[in-house]
Amino acid sequence: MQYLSERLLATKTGRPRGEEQGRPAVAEQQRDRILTATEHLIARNGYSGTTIEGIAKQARVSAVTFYDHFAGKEEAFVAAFERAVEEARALLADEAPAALPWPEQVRAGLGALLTTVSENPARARMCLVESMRDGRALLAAYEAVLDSAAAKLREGRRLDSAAGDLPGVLEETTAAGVAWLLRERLETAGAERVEEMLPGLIEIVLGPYLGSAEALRLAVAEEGG
Amino acid sequence: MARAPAEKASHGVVRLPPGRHGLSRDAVAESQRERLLNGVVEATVAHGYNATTIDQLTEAASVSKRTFYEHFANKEECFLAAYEMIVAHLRDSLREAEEQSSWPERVRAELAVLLGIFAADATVARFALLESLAAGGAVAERHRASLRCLAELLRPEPPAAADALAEAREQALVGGLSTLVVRRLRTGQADGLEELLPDLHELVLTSYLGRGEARRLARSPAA
Repeated sequence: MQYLSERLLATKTGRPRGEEQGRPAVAEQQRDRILTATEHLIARNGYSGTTIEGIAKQARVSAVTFYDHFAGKEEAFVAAFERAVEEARALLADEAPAALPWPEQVRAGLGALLTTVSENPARARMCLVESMRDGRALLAAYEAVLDSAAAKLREGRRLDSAAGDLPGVLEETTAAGVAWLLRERLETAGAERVEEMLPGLIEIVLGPYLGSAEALRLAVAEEGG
Repeated sequence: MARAPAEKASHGVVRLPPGRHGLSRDAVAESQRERLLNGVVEATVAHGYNATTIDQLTEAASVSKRTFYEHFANKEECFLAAYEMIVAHLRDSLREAEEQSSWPERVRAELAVLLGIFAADATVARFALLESLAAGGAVAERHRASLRCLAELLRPEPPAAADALAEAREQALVGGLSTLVVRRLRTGQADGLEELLPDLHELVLTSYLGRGEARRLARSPAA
């Protein structure tokens, strides 16, 4: 920071100062590094064991730069969580496109979810385990994800008229239950071989709509079969 | 009986005057312990488990910090003691419901008891269902065991084939139910908790019977 005038300009727009200096890419990269550092440190040391100093150090930025981007640890945590959710959303849009029949979307979506959990264990731990450990803003973000998953599941009610009459809280409970199972698995066994949960999850999610037998058939069928 | 040494009152802490209230030393200790258990519930729900300090806890309990350490080595130990007391209360309350003759009626009665208790004291419910997850470690381990017990309580008799798939389904069910209740409590909907009973009842039956049979049983008048 060289000129007070620049700094004051930055306060006016509310954007990180890198952008004011015509370096949007730098600010963007800093923010990205901070989020990645937040993700790793929280997964490794827990929310309460993670400090802003530690995050700044790992992200190779100064504490001042950290505060240019985020008001505090919780805000950085929520932003890291939101980034992970956005990336998962994009992945699901690719792997489980809305053009597929709904049961296939669910199957492909759960498969993609498990793959990304096993490929990014730190991220999965942050989203599923550490999001429970304080920080009420994070809990709200977590619940918003459950809600959008529940909305997707509710499409299954259109499959036949009887499915429309299922208990109203089914989807909210199913989405929370799947997240619960994943968290328990990460806590007790870690992210390895998490893909083996797939048939079980498919049966749990599709069972109420298709009946257990049909859900199981889909769960063990060859992909695209 | 040896008289308890007079402790210096500090931080505006209210305490029983030593020796004059006719309570034995054991009774005083028990009263302190009970207050601490209530204090840990109040403080952790107010501040979140990890952010809660021993000072906040003892302040909520109106006892001194020294008294805290006479009873517990740390926050986790105190938390677990309160958790055990809540679980024992739930177990006691559920006993009558367990005597229902048919499985669907048993599930309905058990869920009614649980929802009733959680609705009556949202703070206790949040402590047991949410802060236990925030605590992690030994507490989360203990909570995991509780939910396995809950899954057993809701299970039909004789149990369906106990394969890994059935176990996952049960875990997802109790975990999902627990999350659902916590969300209602967090958003100040404790009053509406008991209205969830018909839906939750049908949901549990659906998980074992499939939707057609579950609906018939859940919506028929009590047999």
